[in-house]
Amino acid sequence: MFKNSINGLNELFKGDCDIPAGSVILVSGIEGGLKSGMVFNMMSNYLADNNEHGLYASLEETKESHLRNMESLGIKKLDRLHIFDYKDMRFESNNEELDIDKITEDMIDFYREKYENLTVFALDSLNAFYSISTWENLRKNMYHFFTMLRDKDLTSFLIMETCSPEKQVFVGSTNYAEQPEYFLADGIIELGVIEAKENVKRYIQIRKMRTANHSMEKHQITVGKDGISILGSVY
Amino acid sequence: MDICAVAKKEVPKIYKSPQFRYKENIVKKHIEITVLSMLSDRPMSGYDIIKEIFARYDVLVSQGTIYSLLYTLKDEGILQVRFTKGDLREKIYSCTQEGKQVVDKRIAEFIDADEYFLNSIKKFGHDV
Repeated sequence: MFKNSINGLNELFKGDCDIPAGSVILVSGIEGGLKSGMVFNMMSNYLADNNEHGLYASLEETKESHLRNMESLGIKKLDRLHIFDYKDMRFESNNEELDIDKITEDMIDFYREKYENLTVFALDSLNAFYSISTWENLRKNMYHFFTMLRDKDLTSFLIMETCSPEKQVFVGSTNYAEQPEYFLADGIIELGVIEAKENVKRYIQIRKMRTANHSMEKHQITVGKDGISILGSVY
Repeated sequence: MDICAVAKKEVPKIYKSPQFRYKENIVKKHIEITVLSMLSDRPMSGYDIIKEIFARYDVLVSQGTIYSLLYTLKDEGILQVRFTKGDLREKIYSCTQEGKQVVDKRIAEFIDADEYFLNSIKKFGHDV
């Protein structure tokens, strides 16, 4: 059960509802919202309670740097949580165009063959994935990518950084019509920051979760020595 | 060699032949033993391994497969990594002391299994 993987996450789901196994979940939010930490913490704790394997594919950071960050958040890495770091192939292949979706599928196939019970996958991040991909038709290719993940029966977390409201003034407004992942995802978990007069709070909100009855409220997130916890409603 | 450019090129007829497909299947099915035997010969980077497999067998193996394999073998203690002199980005893989014993054992097991299989075919009167 994913809802028991983070202290307090169960409060966001009603009754027996949970993140459905085999679904593709978009984890979006601004920089510093703890997206990577939240996903890694969920995977790590989930795998600790289940005899399964997970794969965390990092395009943003090296494996060593990612693990250092996770350690600083009090998140432990399990042997059954494998990390794939795209950095080596990106450097060694120099200026070659990488067929990134094919490489990602082959990587998943390799780990699935090696570890029969590979059930959880994370991609950090979709933004970096897009920047490398040579896709001409984003919508069509994203559809195939999401379908591939579902066909492999993996519960997948796709991390995507969004602009903070103040940056959108300079970059341009968020146009959801140009972001097919919002429609294609089975669930959207948003992580962000709320600035009040005297303090700043990090929050988590489940914006969408197909087939699951969930709260729409923003809940506060804290980081302790044992990782991330979710507290009550922000407001 | 630009691996991605090779992958995107139109496939020549010879690569569609049953003989080639058979060879490609063998290499891909036994990719771990292929890589380990190459690394027990000399240390190489992931990219060099892909080029070497292509040069030896005309078979292009995906980066997603090769780098995943290298990472898992390193986690298992069979491979070790050093960086190219003066460059902390290119990783060169070689077998650890323990890894060399594992490699020798796996190659011996592979040859045994292969011989058993070929002999069983011969029994049915086919020349191999």
